[in-house]
Amino acid sequence: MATTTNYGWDTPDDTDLVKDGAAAIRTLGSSADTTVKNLNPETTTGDISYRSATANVNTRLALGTAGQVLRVNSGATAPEWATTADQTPLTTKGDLFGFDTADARIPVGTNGDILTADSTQSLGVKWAAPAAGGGMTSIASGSLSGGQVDITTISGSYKNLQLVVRDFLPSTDGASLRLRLNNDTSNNYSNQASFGYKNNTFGASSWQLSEDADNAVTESIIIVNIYDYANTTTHKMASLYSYSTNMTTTSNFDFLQYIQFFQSTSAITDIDLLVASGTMGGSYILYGVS
Amino acid sequence: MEYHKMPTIKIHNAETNEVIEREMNAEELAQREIDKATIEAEAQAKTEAAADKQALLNRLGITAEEAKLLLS
Repeated sequence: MATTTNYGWDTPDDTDLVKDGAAAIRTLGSSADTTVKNLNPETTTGDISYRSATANVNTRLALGTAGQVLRVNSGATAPEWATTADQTPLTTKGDLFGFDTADARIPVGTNGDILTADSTQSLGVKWAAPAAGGGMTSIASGSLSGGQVDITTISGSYKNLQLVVRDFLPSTDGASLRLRLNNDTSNNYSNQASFGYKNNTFGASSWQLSEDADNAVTESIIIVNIYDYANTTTHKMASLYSYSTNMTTTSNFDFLQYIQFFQSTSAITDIDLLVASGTMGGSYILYGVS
Repeated sequence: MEYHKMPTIKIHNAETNEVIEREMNAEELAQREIDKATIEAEAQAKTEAAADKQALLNRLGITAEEAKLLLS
């Protein structure tokens, strides 16, 4: 019996008798009906179909739900409607979208950090503290009291130190404020007026920070800049600016402008403020200068 | 009765910001006495220098202001 080219439906041979025509047409129609139905299994609006493992037999894929997307199933054997999971790697507030060989999250840095390119990082960037830019950081501050205040364990991570003393007020009239470094009580200090002199000696056991001060009136301010204080190869140097009330005539003032030297190559880690008699009041702030 | 108060020392740790204040120990008190004597000697030297200066001005028969003018 003859068949159609594509689907192999039975058709009458050229020599078949006319009396068998009705049966032949019915057979052909049934075959066509079966094939068409197999190729169009959709039953509901929105259905789609795809080829099954059997030739000329499609499989119905019912319409998915709102928002679903068409994708290949996990076995990679057929399409399916699916609700997609969140496709970003971000999990936490502040995360950024990064990439190495795949999408990845860049966790947020700490407060004040800035995002910096860094090729050694797997994601090529990192959060890092901004480089210091010449600022002043308060290292220690407080009130002057008693006979001595020691500021200890000073970090060596700054370029210079600046000490600011406000309203120094000794209990003993005429006492002056003194400063020592690293608890060194030897004659390794020098206080020089701001001119150049040759052939000087270290003859003092402290730096002088004020003139003989009044014990009742003060509007004084004292600023000491200690330069390159953390180096371990040179002696140390500072500049002093000191303004205070004259102890005899309190409407007048005294001032000192010294270049001060310290005969030690050690890094400065300790600053002592002291009066040799009585006690003292006022306040201090030690800054690290970047 | 009046008690003699020992001078105190305040120690401020800049790393931890811990502050302790205590009475000076014997070594610190001894150093304080040395400092006091040193500063008094400095003051004495300053006074003597001022007296020498005044004596010189007297010998020259000029005032401090006139000397300043002379040297300016």
